[in-house]
Amino acid sequence: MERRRPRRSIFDLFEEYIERFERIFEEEFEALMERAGWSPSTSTIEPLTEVTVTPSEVIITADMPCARPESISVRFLDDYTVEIYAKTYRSISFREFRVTHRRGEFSSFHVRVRTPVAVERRIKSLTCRRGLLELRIPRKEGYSITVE
Amino acid sequence: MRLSEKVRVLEKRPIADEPTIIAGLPDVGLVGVIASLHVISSLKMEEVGIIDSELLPPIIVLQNGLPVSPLRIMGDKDGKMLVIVSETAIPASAVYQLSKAMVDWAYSKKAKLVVSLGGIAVQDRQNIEEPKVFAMASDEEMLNLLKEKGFRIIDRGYIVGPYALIMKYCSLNGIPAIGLLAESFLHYPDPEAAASALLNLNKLLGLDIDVSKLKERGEEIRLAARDMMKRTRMEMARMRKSQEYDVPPLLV
Repeated sequence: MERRRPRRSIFDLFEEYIERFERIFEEEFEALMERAGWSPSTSTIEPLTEVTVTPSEVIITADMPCARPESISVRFLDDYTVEIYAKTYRSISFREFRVTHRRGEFSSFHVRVRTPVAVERRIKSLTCRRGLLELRIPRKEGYSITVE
Repeated sequence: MRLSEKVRVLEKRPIADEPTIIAGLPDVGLVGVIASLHVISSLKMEEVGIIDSELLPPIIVLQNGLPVSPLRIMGDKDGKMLVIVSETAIPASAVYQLSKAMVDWAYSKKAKLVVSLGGIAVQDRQNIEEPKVFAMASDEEMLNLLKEKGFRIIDRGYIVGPYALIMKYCSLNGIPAIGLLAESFLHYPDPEAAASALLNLNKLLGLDIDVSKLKERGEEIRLAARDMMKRTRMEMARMRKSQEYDVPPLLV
């Protein structure tokens, strides 16, 4: 006779969900950490970025010291991926950080940012002050439920 | 109190009793690390000890071709002022034992004062020209001192991470301790916030550390601190650092 599996409580399911979420979060973070942020072959630096989701837009910031604001370009690769590129106003090398065993000159920033929600493929606003880029992108409209 | 067995403080030179100890540990905006490294270079401090632990990642920092510990104690000429600085992100799992060992050691040295230099994340940091500094204290006496000197006090709120534990253990052991936290970016190195924290340290300790270089060379500092910030971000997430944004339940 087939034995029935004990029904899991809502708390078990919630705990499982949290554990799964934490695992994904850890994996994403580990991947980010172990990716080299300096690429001598393309002369690019991957900037630190932050993504905030508001009810109407996604705000992406990127720390790009020495970036030339007029050179910033933004491309939408799909509804969830934004590519940011900017040239630096001067060449940056490992030597200026007194790192002599590595070679490389860097002249631009480049990063692909994943957004947690779908975004429209247009920029609402873009500012860059003291090397800090702030990009506001409208969220793709989903559906809403009217509460009676 | 006993030193934590997994953490050892090794004194490389004799360190006199009753020092003032400044802690510059990786945290929000790397404010403490940037500020402490500036104190070290401004006061021409030299290494007087290291903090060694199997809880830290297996790394050394090479300087002028020689290995130094990433977590070390620097001292000025007369040894009255010490700086504990870390050049590696402190794993969240090690924060308890490292903080406890640091305070145990400060206790054994009869520390006159422990000052934690750090940041407090604000969401609109990019719109702030001069970051404000907020202070916290381990006891009433220190709190009154801060108020007399005109410091802004963090009246209510959460502090998460090594500075929270240093403050807690100092308070429990009767070691006078103060935290100076400058408004800062959460996830980006913030030399301007470090400059603000240092101006307040000057005011607290009667120092005259020039912070103009931190502002002039801000871009360079941000680039150089980028990799350490990346690793510190991860540890802050593990510590649930975002709880600092929370509002504690209200007492009525």
